[in-house]
Amino acid sequence: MKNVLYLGLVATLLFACEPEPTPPPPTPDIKYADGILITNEGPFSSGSGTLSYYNPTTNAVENDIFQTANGYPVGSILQSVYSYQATNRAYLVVNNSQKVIVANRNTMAEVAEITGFSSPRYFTTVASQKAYVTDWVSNTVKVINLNTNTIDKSLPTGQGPERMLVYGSRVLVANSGGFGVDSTLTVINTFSDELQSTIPVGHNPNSMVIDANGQLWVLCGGINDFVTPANSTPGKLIKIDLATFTKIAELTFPNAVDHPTGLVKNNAGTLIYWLSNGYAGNVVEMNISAPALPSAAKINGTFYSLVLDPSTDEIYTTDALDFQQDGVMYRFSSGGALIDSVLVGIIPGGFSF
Amino acid sequence: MKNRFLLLLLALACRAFAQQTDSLLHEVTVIEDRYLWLKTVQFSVTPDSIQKLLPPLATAADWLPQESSVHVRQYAPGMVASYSTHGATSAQNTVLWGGIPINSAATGLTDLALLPTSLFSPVFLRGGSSAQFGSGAMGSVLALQNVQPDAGWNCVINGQVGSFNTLSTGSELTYASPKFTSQTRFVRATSENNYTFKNRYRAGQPKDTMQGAAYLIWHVSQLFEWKLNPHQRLDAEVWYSFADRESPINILVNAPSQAKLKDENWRARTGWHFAKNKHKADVGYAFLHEWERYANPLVTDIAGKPTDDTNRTVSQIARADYVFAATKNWFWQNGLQYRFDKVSGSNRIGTQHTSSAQTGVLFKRNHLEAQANLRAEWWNDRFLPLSPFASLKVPVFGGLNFTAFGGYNYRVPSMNDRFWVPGGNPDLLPESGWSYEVAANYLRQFGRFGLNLRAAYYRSNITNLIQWLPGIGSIWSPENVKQVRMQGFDFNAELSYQKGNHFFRLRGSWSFNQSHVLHAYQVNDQSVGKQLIYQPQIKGVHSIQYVYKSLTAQLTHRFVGEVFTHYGTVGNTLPAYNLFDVGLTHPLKNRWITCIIGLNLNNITNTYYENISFFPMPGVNYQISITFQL
Repeated sequence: MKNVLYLGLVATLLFACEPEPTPPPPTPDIKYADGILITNEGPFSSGSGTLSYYNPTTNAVENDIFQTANGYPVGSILQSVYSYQATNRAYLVVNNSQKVIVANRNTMAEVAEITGFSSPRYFTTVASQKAYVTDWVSNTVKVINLNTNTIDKSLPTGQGPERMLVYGSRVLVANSGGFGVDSTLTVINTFSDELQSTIPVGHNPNSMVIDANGQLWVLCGGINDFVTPANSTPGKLIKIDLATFTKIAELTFPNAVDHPTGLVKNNAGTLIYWLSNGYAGNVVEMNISAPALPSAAKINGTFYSLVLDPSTDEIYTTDALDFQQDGVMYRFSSGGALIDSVLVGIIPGGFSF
Repeated sequence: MKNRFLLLLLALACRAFAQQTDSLLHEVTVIEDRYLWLKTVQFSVTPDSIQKLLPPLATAADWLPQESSVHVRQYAPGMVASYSTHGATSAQNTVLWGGIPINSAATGLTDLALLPTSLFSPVFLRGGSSAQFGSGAMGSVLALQNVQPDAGWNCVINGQVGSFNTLSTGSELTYASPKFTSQTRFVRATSENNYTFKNRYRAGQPKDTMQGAAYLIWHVSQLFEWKLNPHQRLDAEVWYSFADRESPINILVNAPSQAKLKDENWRARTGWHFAKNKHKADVGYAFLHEWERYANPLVTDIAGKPTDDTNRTVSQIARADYVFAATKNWFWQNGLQYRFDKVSGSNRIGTQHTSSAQTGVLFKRNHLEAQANLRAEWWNDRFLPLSPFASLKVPVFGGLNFTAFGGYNYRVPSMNDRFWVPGGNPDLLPESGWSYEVAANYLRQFGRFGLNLRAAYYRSNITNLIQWLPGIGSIWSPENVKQVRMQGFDFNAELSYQKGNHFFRLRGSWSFNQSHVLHAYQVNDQSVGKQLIYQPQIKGVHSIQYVYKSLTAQLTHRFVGEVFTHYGTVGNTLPAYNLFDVGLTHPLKNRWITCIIGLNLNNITNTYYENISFFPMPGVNYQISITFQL
């Protein structure tokens, strides 16, 4: 027994005399500074969304970073994320939980919650202290005061407002139809926060880009009538003169089964890309000067979302697989060669660079 | 106000009745046996055998969790309750009402919250046998039967109050004579279900209140039975149930649910039963009518109208059974069944018909029993593989015996799977596979001690498991996508001791279940090799019961192991939990009336737990019941 006591004493002295090597200080402030945020919607009825982080330099992925940083889940259906470099904030749009979480972009620690939505979808800043959020069920755009993190104003739109495009002092809102049908873009003046006009396009517009020539491309998904498939209509890709808001070209997709979505462009604005189908589509590439829709896909797959790295033009897609297990994020070169693929969360869909 | 009235009744009853010592336990007499007399090798339990002190107006959703091989999932008490046995999902377990399979043809399911134990005498049979019970009997059979009433007029009136403004009432009026029997039963239950819980999913873990979980449920049933002569009897039964329930949503959602679900079920059956010398015959017909309405003003359809879906399912079943006792040891049993189902409404339109023929032999001698069955079934125009079933019960010595059974089981796709608009897949194949179980049973009385032990190993494979997946045009559609294997052990032990007016009983049951996806027909499927979701690998139930004269007290402990909630890698489990319940009942009696007073305290340690992710269940809660028997 005495020996044991001596051994314990010696061990104590040894540890007391030799200080433990000091670990490098934690650097939470730069943890998620450089890299891509990926939103995972999560199981629909009984689950939480998650947020993943991907570092394109090291190819490392870290999943569920919001829960890790805060100790509680982000909420039901994490729809999209927006990074605002000016204030170092990330805005997490949590659709089914009817809120937008304001988090530190570098640490993901929650700073505030913005509530008062019915079904928020996308967030964009329109001024240094002002942002817009589309609210899908209420058919409105909410004007957010970023100083107080509250809703200042609610602007009516068409049905099912989704993605937005900031263009000078205006914001274009794609009225995607919600559970029904809409065929318009809403134009909002960001100075006055007032509706400026409505642009007619095709059935259920879902995404927009402005190309190198300063012309607007609008991708319309078409009507997807689940109950009476004969009433479905094919999607359309429409080119619009931004000066006059008039149609320059209208390309109709060949069938009413696929409903294209996710229009994006390369950094130069000379190429546009989309997914041939909203749940499981191929990546399609088209030169803005092409007279017709391409007949072949650039990358075949069953992709759920699509985005291009604004600095490298690398193509990022996600595959939600069966929507009940972890999805896959794919990274392709601008030429379409696979660079990397990583497992992220359930139903990955949104990106922020 | 109603609660106060019932409490007043309770107080008056306590004063009015002197304490009596009669035991009020009734022996259950099964009169709707059908095939059950053949089921001698499967482990069976009744509410009385596993949970003496269940509140009188409980449902199968309250009772079946007390069986270790069963895992019940429910968003909140009173809400739609599904269950699994040995990894077999709700649609892979069948519910019989007087021998009639009543799983919905549309969904394949039966909602346990709509099966009040006071309306029937349920028997749960662990293990599948499609050869005898047809489609869906892959994991277990829950048979809802009737109790033969005492002679003359009898009346029972129940009242029950509980936490969260829960109020239940029930009544039973029976008449029995040598020629005629009538049983009328009524149950009504309401609750606001507005329990509080600590919301661990929000910053600071604030206290929240459950919203959107209120319900109103009521049932009425009527059974008539005429004994035409010593060899023949006729019976007819009607069961109407109605449920108006809110539909709670994930607590991560800020707003309360506005969704509502209404169910209305009409069930009627009639039968002619004959037994004379070596012949026994039963001929029956049943009509099942389900109506459901789901409304959610927050979700609109393509025309901009709020969701308000109404669907109807009508089933008609005709069946005939004949048993011939060739000798005192050999029995030959045959059955024919025809079933027609029709679904219609907002989301589905379709019909299906199934015909089946079944035959089997049973040998019984002393305690040795052996049987073999074979079933042929035509599902629409498809001839399903023949389903054999065999069982053996061999006595060894003393109270020890060994049992074994095995067979080929199947489940045809539900009509929702085939006809749902959009996405229904009419080309789906039935889920099917072999299963078997071997068990050792020991039953012995040692003086004042009684001992009952059982250990069983089971295994089953299911191929063509059906799962809904996204398909062309963004439309989800069901596909036969997986092969799974369930295997595990069940242990049951019961020790009782009686001396004078004192009776003790210790009971334990433990189930170890491994339900793994063996193979998936999709590439990159991460579910392969993983436990099926919402299937605990370990579950145990223990109880200590003490009876002194007519006073009964019981402490029950339930352990439910960790379950996977999805096949992702983050936040994919619900933690294990322990629940402790206490029950106390005491009868009071005078010349005219018997009054039973009961108290149940549930989850006395106020444990936070969820059966479904992000749907918290209640903490500590109580039920006080009073039953008058006239």
